[in-house]
Amino acid sequence: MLKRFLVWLMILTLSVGMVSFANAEETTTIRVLWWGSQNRHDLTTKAVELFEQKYPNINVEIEFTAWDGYWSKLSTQVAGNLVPDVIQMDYQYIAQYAQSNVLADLTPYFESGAIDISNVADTVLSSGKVGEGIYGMPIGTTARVMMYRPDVLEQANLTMPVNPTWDEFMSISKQVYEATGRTNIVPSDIDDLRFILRDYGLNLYSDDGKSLGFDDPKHLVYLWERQMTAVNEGWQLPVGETTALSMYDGFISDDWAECTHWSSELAAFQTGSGTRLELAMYPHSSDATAAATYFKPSMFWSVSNASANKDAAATFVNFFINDPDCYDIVGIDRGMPVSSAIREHIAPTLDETSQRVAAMHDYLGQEGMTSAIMNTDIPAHGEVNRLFADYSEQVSYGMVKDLTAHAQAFIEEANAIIAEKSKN
Amino acid sequence: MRSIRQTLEKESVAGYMFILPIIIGLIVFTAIPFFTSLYLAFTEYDMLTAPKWVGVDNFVKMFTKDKLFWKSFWVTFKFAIIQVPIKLLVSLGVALVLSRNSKAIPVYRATFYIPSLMGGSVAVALMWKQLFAYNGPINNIFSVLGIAPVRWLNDVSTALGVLIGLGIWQFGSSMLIFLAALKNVPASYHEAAIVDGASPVRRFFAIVLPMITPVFFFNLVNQTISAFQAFNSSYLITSGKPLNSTLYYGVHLYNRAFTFSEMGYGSAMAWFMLLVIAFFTALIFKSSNAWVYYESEVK
Repeated sequence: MLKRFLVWLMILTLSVGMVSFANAEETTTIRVLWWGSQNRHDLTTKAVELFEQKYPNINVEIEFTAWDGYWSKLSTQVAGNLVPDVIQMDYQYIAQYAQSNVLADLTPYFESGAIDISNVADTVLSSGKVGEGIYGMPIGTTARVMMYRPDVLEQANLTMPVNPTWDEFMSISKQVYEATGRTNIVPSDIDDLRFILRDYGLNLYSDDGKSLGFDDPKHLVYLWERQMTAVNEGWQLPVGETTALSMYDGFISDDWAECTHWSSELAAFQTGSGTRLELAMYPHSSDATAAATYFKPSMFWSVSNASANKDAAATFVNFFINDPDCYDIVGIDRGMPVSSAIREHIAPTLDETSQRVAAMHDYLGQEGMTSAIMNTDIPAHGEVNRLFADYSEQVSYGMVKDLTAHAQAFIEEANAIIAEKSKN
Repeated sequence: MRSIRQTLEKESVAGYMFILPIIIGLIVFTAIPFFTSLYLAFTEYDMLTAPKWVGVDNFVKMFTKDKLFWKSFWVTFKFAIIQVPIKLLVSLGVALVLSRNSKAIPVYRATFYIPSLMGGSVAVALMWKQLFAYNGPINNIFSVLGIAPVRWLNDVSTALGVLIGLGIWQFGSSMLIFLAALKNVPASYHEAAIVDGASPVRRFFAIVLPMITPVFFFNLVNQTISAFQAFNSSYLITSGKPLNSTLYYGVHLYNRAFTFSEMGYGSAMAWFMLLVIAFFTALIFKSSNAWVYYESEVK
């Protein structure tokens, strides 16, 4: 009797175990990591909830931070073997992560249709290409633009052409300053150097990534002289005299235009500054021989190579590229969607601000307005960027007499850093 | 069975059990990272791929190639050598004032200690940044007084001073330790000296100061170590600008390790700083024979 009871008990226990095991197999959990503003966190969290409703057997754990700190967080997770299954990736880093074997090649999922790319242009998709594979699914596109306050221009009786040259930009800035006292900034970061170079079909780094892509100091001299002119004429504040407390305040406290932002950020800057902003193209040199502006994948979804649930991760990526319901929530927060079907779907629902972004993208989409995006940045970019900031700082503090020699010194030092980093 | 029970009931076992949490913490969060970073200092490690052994390359690069290494070392040294003495004097001064007996004193003590409670916090550094901004309260006061505004955080001659000022302002913890020491000076010594007609100043230099030298020594060592490890104020307020004049060693290390993903180089820098701190601490210890007075000592 007892023996039979025990047998039954064992069977029961086993079957219960099997059932619970089967259940455990049915639900998979994936971790998703992204960076962004509070607005993006709210929208994405809602979209993730919708995803879980639609795919009840996939459970999503979310992690997000601001851009600051994102890359040290991710690299720490990589070092600790805690890589999230789905990672928001940036163009600047994708090659490094793909080559370090952190990311999975998505090509098999494109082929199987798990990630539907039938509505995505090849040129857009290829931006995620590293070597032979595609390691990131672009989510949206964005472009560097000028944002300006139409009300200030109106006050000064001026207009901004949609595709201004630097000469126009400088002379308008000077006139606005004389009429209204509002200042402007000649953008002078390393990315602005990149734009000057792209005006002449050059790149910041050479194709093989073993040196800078230019050796003529005149481009740097031009960048620095432009900045000094602006300060000397009074329409750019000297270092340390800006009064903005946050990145959005500049449009209120001092400036009437800024060329350092991306089209996808328009809504954030309008809300942040509380003023209406218009878009124009990033200015170009009057003797430019190439289009400097380019469409950039604002970010990618990448899947971890170490993930045990790559299929579920691919389902998530597909949802975020192709599901109209998802875009009813997130809109164009991550840039203009890459799927043409989604772009059509959201077009009627876009608010006025997003429509202006879409119009700018349509304008840039015309023949000859943009050129192809440059190669991804080399591993030494962080250090070169830092070096460039140091050299520029010396110029803005008036410590440099001979700009050409200064530029020459930068080129030599940067090349030495790149050679050192790329030798192994 | 019995022997296990007996062992478990031993007093020493209970003791070990009690300190187990902290021992585990020490091993996991201090000992392992400590030795790992020693190993990493001799490797090239970008956190994405496995570390690669490079011998002493990191140290060679540090001493011969990295311009900012010596620059940041000098900035940190300057920061420490100016901040530590002033901070100690200020905290001793405040402790002297607060050691008097009066009803309002506890309130004052708490008030003076608050900046230190928030000392390491980001909020205080950000507040300091606002105070010294170009259109911040300090310059506003200046303009009321008819003084031209100063670019505090963007002028090479003032930026480091502003950060040192923040460090000194956070004198609370050393002040509190001084306060305890002052309270421990036996009243009988004072009474005897008063009977002998010693002035308060004389009493301070002849009785109080010698009596608190051990605490002075303790504060000096602590403050020197933390000054060399300074990070927050530069990272949050100036990010090393202008012209790298506020680039602390710790910030340069952080940039190298986390921004440029050079963990090996960062570890090497950390170990060099450990040796420097050990050297200065040893120096202070050596000198202490000459100026620290221990009551129990027989001379």
